[in-house]
Amino acid sequence: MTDPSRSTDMERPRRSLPDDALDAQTAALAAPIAPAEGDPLPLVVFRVAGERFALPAGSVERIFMPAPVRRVPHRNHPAFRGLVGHEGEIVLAASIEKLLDLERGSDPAGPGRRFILLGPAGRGWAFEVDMVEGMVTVSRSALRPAPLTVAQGKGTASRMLAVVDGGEVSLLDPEALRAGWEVTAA
Amino acid sequence: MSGFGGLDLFELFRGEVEVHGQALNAGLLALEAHPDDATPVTAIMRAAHSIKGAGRVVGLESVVSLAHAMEDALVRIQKGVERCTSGRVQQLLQGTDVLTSLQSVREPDVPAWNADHAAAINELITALSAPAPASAAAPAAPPVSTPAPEPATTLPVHQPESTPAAEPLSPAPSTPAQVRHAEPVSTEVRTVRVNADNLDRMMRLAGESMVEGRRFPQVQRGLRQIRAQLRALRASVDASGDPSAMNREVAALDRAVTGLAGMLESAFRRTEEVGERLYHEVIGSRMRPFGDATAGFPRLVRDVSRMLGRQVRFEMEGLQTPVDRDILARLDAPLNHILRNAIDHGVESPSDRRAAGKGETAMLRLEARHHAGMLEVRVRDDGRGIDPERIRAKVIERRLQSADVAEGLARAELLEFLFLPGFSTAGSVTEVSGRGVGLDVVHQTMRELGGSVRVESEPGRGTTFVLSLPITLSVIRAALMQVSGERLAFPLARIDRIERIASADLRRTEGRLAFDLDGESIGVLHGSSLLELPGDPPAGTHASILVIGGEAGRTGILVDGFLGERDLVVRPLDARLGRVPHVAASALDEDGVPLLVMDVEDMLVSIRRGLAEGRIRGMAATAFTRGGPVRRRILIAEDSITVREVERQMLLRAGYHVEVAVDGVDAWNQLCAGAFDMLVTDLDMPRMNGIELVRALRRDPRFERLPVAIVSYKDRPEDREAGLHAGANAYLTKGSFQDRTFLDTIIDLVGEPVP
Repeated sequence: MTDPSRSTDMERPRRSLPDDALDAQTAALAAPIAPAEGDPLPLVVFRVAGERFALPAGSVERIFMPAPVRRVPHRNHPAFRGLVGHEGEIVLAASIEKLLDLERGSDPAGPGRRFILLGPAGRGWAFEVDMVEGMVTVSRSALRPAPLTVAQGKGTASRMLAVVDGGEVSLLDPEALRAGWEVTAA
Repeated sequence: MSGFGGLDLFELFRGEVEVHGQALNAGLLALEAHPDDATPVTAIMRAAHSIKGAGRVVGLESVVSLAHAMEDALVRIQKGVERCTSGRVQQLLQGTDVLTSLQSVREPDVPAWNADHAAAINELITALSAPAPASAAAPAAPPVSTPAPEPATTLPVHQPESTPAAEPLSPAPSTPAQVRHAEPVSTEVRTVRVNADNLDRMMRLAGESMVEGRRFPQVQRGLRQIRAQLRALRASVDASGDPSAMNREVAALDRAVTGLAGMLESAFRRTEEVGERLYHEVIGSRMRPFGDATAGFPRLVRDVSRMLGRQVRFEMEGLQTPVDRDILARLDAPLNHILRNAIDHGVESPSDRRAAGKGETAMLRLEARHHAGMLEVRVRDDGRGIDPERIRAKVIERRLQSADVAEGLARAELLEFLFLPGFSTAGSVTEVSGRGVGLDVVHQTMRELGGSVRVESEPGRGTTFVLSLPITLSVIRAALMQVSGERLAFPLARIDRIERIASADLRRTEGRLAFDLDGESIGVLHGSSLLELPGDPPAGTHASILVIGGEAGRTGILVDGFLGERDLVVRPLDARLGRVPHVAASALDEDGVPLLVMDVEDMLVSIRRGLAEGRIRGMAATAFTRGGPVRRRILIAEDSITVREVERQMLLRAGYHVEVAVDGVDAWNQLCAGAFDMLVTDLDMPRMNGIELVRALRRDPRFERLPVAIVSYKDRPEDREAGLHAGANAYLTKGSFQDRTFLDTIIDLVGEPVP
């Protein structure tokens, strides 16, 4: 924990990572980190509907185990799922598949399912993913703009692509995601 | 002073001084910034009034007199008798400083405080009753050596041996007022009083739950060992192929796993139990006995009776009745007002009582009990009662109603006027009551708490004030229903019945579902369609039906099933959801899964309107269609039943179709659900007031152009301006009922009743 760039960025999501994700993260922490070229950007990488996505680690408050989502009467927009309880708090839940217009559905019973809770506190919201791969740090300078068709697609919050473990990952903009569902909840 | 049942009155007093001192400072500063806007005056008066009342409870006469003088000055400003000058505000701020300096005084030091401040308080009282000084600089408190003229109210404060001139009473007059703004006006840390036993139990449980939690890592270590053993086992079997070695290893593993399973099970069970007990303690800690709020009343009654020369026997009952602390905290001021009123206006002098054939000693009773799921508090006296004719005369004199309408008002309706702001039948203003600050504050407080107040009175026999309040604002007992697979909580107090009937008994006649209950045919709606929760309709040999609506017409809601009862800690719904129809709040179930708490009243409103318009599936619309010409539809939003009825009758007589709403939220829901051509709304209403309602309407594209007329008692230009600024098309005072102004305005805005 002597390297400040590691500790501060990793602390928050790690706090409540469940066991298996913890293993992955431990491995990630133990691995020698490439000296930060340019501007290091820590990411949380996850899978949903067969695709890989990432969010800036700073935007992720918690990762928690699946829990029942309760629908809200008269609020039937597909992007808004309802309410989910986490550690005594009631959190609004959205559907990442609908927000990203992902054609293939997810497996609702998959063993790696997790909720990702985005902040800020008091305006938090969560969505469920098929699995959380873990955290990686990439260099901002290595990010590439997403193809125009992706970046401008309706309901798409992918602005950039990052390369993680040799594969492409769409980096999502948490604010664009929030804007995608918040109006549908009211 | 700290006598009553261990309750430290002085501590409470200091708390009051702190809270109301903040209100005084904030209000006075606002007044200073905009001397022509008298809006803050009411709040300042209430704050001064509250400090006065609290001062009386702890016997601080100097505080009572000072606060009284401040209140007097404020009344003159409010009535426009006196202009609000910066000099006057400065005096009031000095008074506030004196009062708030008590915050840091301990009870034993009160005599010293009195001695230190007596001279300054006298001077302030004198200055406050003199004509207002023009500017702040001029009236810097007169030098201490000048003997102050005897103020109207004398102070039972002895002069100190040596006049301490060291402690300045207030910031130097040169300190600009803005500096005060820089201080944090509300550094609000919410503190609550918790029963010590209750807190002890919670702490023990929290400790236990922590200890239980520590067992889990032990289990985790055990599991890791087992994994290591398993790997070793596989390695050794791979290497040797010796079954006996394997058997030994397996037996050891078996023992380890069994031990862990047992440990886990007991840990789970204990954790669950501890958690449950802790939960109930926390819920219980919100409740306090009613007696906590009444400790100061015997003293109050005694002092007021003596001052007024009355003989009163004061009795209290139901002091152990549990009440939510938030409600209890708000009950003191209203009860204080009502008790004072009772002694001042209700109870006759001993000679009058004798002449009326009653005993010289009057009876005054304060009772609390739980009744029909509500807390009911009654204050009853056997005094002279309230003469309805006096109210009627006052109503006419103050032009609150035309003489015609006023003549037709029943006694109960007349008594409602007592709760109007500024309405007082007291002939003179005394220190005890008669400023008209009292009963409207009571009314306001009850409304804010979701309760109500009414008064019953029989001339010559006595008066009873009945306050009806929710027992708690935060915990409700609810029935859990499953609808389309979702769990919904219905407050028990709002449910009529829960019926389970054979599916065959659910008839379908003319496309309408119904069943018989107590010889009455009750219409049934699908919960899933009413709430727009798509799902499979309940099937099976039996149907679960939730019956709501009571006397006003019962309706059945078909649900999947009944899941039991729960005590739920209610939390506000996430603001991002906006206003969700039929939903009042959210809560967490015992398993941590969110629940929605339903607003049964709101459901009933939708059902009735949905029936009338044939919009709700599952019910036939044919029986409800209206005949005759289509009339323009007007919604009246008004919380006073008297005014509402007057407006309704006038518009009905003119030929409009009229619906009524009892407050802003009700109005909003009705407007959203039904096609209305116009809204007539009051300003002061519970839940959502008129201004908020109009603003909300104007923000919504559906209602941008809806004609809106505000009808209010308030006839100050600033009220009118606020109403029109919010987006109303017209602003009328209730005086407009007396001529054609009201009707003409309506016709101008919406057109003739039949297009």
